[in-house]
Amino acid sequence: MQFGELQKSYQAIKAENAELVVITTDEQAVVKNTANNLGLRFVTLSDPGRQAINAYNAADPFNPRIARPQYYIIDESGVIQWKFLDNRKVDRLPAPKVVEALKNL
Amino acid sequence: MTSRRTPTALLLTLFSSMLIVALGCSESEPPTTKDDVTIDEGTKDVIDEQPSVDGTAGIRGLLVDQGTKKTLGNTRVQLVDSQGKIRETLTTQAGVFEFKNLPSDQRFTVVVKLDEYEKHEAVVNPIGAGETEKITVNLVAILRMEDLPPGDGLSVGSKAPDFNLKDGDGKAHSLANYAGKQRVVLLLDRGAW
Repeated sequence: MQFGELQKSYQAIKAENAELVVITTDEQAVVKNTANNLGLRFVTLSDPGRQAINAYNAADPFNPRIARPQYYIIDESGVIQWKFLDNRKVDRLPAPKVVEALKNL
Repeated sequence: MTSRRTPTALLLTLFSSMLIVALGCSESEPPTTKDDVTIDEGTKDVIDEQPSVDGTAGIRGLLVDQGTKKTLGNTRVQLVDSQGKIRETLTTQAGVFEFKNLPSDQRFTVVVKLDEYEKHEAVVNPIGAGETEKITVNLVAILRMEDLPPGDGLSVGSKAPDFNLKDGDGKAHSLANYAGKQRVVLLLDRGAW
């Protein structure tokens, strides 16, 4: 699964002085289960009220209960410096591409 | 039945009808005649051609969208002097504006309020007699989420909204925790729904 792939790149992300934060609309208990089952070390947050999902204009128009997958790199001053939007027609972004983007910024 | 009015009552009636007429008149007056506002004629294609009076100062400026670097035409620009008196003009199609015949040695504030831009206020230091100060006014566009289709996220360059959410163990995390320390790779994802 995607999150397992991300875990493999987590150390490389940390090495670029970045933290990895994943937000889903899953309830807290589900988030905990997922993190335990997949051995995730990065930050996984529960947003059932869609606080962040809506603030980032990320609610999937075809299913507003969940997010349309999208990545951001946010710099130390809180400005978005890079974005990747899943366009539904291709495979998900490979995790190493995120590391590459961090290196290139 | 006939009602007889005393002379005093008649006078009062006359006075109140005069008052109504007077009030009616003041309502129909255009707002531009207010003492504190002088409206310069808007210059759509040419800059104000009236000659500069000797011994006065001037401000000539260019109004620009800071992001796109495009000039902003036909936009109202206000100039407020130290007494609070407001002068107004419109920029030309090329985004140029000019105020002539200003008192010299006085501080002015250029104010531009345009929809979809942050309000701009810039101080112009006292200008010498016979001189024209040249300025560029950069307006900052307000980034709006509505500019992107639903689900398309936010634009690169925009401020990342803060959040305060709990992890699986109930510990709260916010984006502000990382400010000034670390970058954040943020993934908004479907999850296990």
